[in-house]
Amino acid sequence: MAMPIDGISSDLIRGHIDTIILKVLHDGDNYGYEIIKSISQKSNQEYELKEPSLYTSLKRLEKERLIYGYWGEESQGGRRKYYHITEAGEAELHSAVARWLTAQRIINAILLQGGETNG
Amino acid sequence: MDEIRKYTDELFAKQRQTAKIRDLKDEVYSNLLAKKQDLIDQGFSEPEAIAKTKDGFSSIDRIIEGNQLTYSNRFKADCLQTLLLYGVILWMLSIPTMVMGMMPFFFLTFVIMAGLGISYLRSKQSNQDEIAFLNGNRLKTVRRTAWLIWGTFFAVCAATITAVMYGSNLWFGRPISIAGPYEFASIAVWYYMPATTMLLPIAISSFPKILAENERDDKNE
Repeated sequence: MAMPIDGISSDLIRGHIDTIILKVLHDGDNYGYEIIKSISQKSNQEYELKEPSLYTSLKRLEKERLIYGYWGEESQGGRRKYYHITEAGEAELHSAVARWLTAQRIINAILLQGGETNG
Repeated sequence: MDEIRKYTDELFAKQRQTAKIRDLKDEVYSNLLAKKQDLIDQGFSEPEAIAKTKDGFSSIDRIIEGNQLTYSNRFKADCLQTLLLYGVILWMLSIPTMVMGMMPFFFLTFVIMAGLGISYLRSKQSNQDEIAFLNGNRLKTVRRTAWLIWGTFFAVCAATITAVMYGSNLWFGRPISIAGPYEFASIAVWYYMPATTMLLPIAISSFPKILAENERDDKNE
């Protein structure tokens, strides 16, 4: 397993958790633990979303009607709650990605200028 | 009962069993169970998997609706300060009743004011950096309840006083006569005293706002 990233990088990612979850649900309906696993896999095990953050984010997204939850069939594992991305959620994902690319371009332009600070 | 179910029950032990909380509990339970199973599939023994699962989710404070990470002692001190302010107003409002011979009421309000003052000063001594999760939604319920209780209290007081003073007039159909300003004042004071208790629900009404002002940024969100 790769080294877990330090707290500062984790801080930088935190602001994008909602977008990240939208992206996971864009790939298909999913339930809590599998969302965490999927994020971990997509990041090559470099980022692990904490469970409390997952629930806070899901509740927030649900409130904003970007996703909705529904109960899967009862199994040995109890009732599983799945989430589905709404059309508004797809639109938000799209614009969040665009915002991220812009921010990334600007920050790169400032920080990597001339390459002096590369290291 | 399986270990994960027991653990989930512990996590939610302090919560009121509303439909929303039951749903959240079911969701948390199924996810914890999925995690445990996944860890076992990765080669962990069952006790290890259970321990790791519990470690990853040690409290539900952060995910309960309305919960807010708060400087709890500052919040308490601010609430007491507000209560003290209204306590001083109450005491001042009781001064006119002294003229009408209501010395016990005057002393009572003085004692209340002094008590609030001492509580406030003591609350300032506590660790002002202490933090805890407090629930804003519950505080709004407290506010509603305070007004309800006060409304009932005042209605009962007013009805009782009216019955005691004018019961016989109403019963025998005699007209109510008030001879002059002094008599009017001596009657009004009996309605005035219970009315001043309205300051309590007024003070409590500002608690939700005080809670919001004492929010602490949740760095682990």
